[in-house]
Amino acid sequence: MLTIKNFQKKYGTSSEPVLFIDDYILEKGIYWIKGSNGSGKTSLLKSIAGLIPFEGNIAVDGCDINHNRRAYLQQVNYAEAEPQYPLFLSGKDLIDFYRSTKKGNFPDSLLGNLGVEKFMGQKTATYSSGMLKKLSLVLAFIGNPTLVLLDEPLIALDVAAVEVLQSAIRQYNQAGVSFIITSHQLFNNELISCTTNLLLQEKSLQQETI
Amino acid sequence: MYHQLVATGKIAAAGNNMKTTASILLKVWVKQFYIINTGFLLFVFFFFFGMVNGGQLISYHISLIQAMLTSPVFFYVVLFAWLCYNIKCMLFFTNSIKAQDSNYIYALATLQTTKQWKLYLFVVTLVYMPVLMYSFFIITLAIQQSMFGKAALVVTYQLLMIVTAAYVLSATVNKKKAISTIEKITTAINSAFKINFGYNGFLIGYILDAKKMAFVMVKVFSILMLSISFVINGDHFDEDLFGIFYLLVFVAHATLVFYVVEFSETQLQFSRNLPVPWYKVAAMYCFTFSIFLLPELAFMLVNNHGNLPVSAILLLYLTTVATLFLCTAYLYGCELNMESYLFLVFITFIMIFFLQKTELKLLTLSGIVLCATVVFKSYYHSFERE
Repeated sequence: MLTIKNFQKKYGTSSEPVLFIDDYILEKGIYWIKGSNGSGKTSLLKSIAGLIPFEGNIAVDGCDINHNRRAYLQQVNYAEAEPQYPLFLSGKDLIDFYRSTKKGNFPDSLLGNLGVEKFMGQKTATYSSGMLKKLSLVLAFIGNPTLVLLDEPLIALDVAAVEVLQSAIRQYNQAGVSFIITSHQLFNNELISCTTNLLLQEKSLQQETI
Repeated sequence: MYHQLVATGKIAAAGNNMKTTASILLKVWVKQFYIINTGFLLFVFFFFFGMVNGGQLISYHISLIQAMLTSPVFFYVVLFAWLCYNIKCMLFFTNSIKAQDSNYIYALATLQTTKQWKLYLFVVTLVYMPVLMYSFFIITLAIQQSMFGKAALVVTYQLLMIVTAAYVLSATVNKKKAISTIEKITTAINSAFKINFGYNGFLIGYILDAKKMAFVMVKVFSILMLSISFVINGDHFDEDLFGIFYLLVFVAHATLVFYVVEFSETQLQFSRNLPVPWYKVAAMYCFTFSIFLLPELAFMLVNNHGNLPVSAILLLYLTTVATLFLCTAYLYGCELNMESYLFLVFITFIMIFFLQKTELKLLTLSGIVLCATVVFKSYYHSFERE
């Protein structure tokens, strides 16, 4: 599903990469990337999401970001750890914008179950961090993604929303969508049972061995 | 432990808190204000001091002040410009206090009212300093020429400006009711200006929402520059002089370009995860600039009276849109570095000034479009904000 080749991420003028992944393949599934603060989890997710530049190549189902960026981004969705949106736009403006670009399906049930429809008409300037988080999660499920990247998805969510999100991940995964998640919070047992743990340490990605 | 830290100077003693607070406010407000407004202030400095020959600088400014003191219209225009700068300062303060990472600033509310006011007056005076320095020369000249009334008016006006800005700071920090009224007015203005262009309108929406004051100042300046050529000197239209004024209009708009690219790469950064190709992003920038420049286009067409062929005005409009897009490409190329950006804007300014004198206007437009497209395409995807 996801192929990473000769991946290097450097910041600024530094010649030392903060991340180096030589060759890595992930099959379909749900992956939980663990790692200490500053180990590069967000940098890796942002690189896969196409938000920041990097050296090397990343492909999803054979479609690589360097040669077919548009088709690649149609397959990869991302929700940030601390989402930030233009303050003068409403949640509805952003949902419309995502729908017009990502095309495909719309997560109606997630929108309703997370309660986003109640506040999506308001400008994001009035949102709490939990409301912003819920909006970012709805946006991450818009379209027909093959891979959804969730950076610290449980931060700022209430207990009910955590349950809604975990069942949505299970449901989408059963429909063939893969997930890469970073989280310092624990998931419920049902989700943990079908999750593969990866560890990001010493600037590289590896399968966690217990 | 506390006394040890105080003795070694690692934390300030309680008695020093005014000095410590003042130094923090210097960092978060005064220094930040000048960093954020470097482009704007450099532009104003260039306009007042860079355009005139060194030997004529003093006489130029004396005649400028003289005109201000003798012409009531000019006098009120200058007062209005100072008011705009003061509003810009006040908006900077209120926005920075309300920013999510500035909650610690509300600790100021625990200080005594007189101490708070001393700090606010100190900060406002420093931020307002460029205007105060120029006012000092105006007051000196007015007193020398026995225009005591005008001198007293300028002094009173500037004191009022400083006290008002300090009051707004105090009211924002202490969350007084007066501010909620200001917020209501701002919200009403925002709703009146609510424009929904979809994706292509995001940048326009941002400028009308968060950079209203900068936008209005650029427009007032632009129309003033064009008025000199088309209205004041309309009977003796000088194409060379118009060329210089029009380039100043372009440089003023270059500051808006900086704002929209910065917004695009911060609050709109999420859109890089969307399947929007680079040419659509480029089109969004060009659409934004073409809307921004509509008032200038309309002004030139209405006040032209046969001085310039309509085709020349339209070509000029398109060239400006293309040049602003070239500035956008520069920002991606020099990673939003204001210093490098201004350098490139001035190089472009000089190049276009000379190219405008030739008959290669259409070729110039094509060259700018080609150059901007190549630079934008090369740097857009590899760009990363530091």
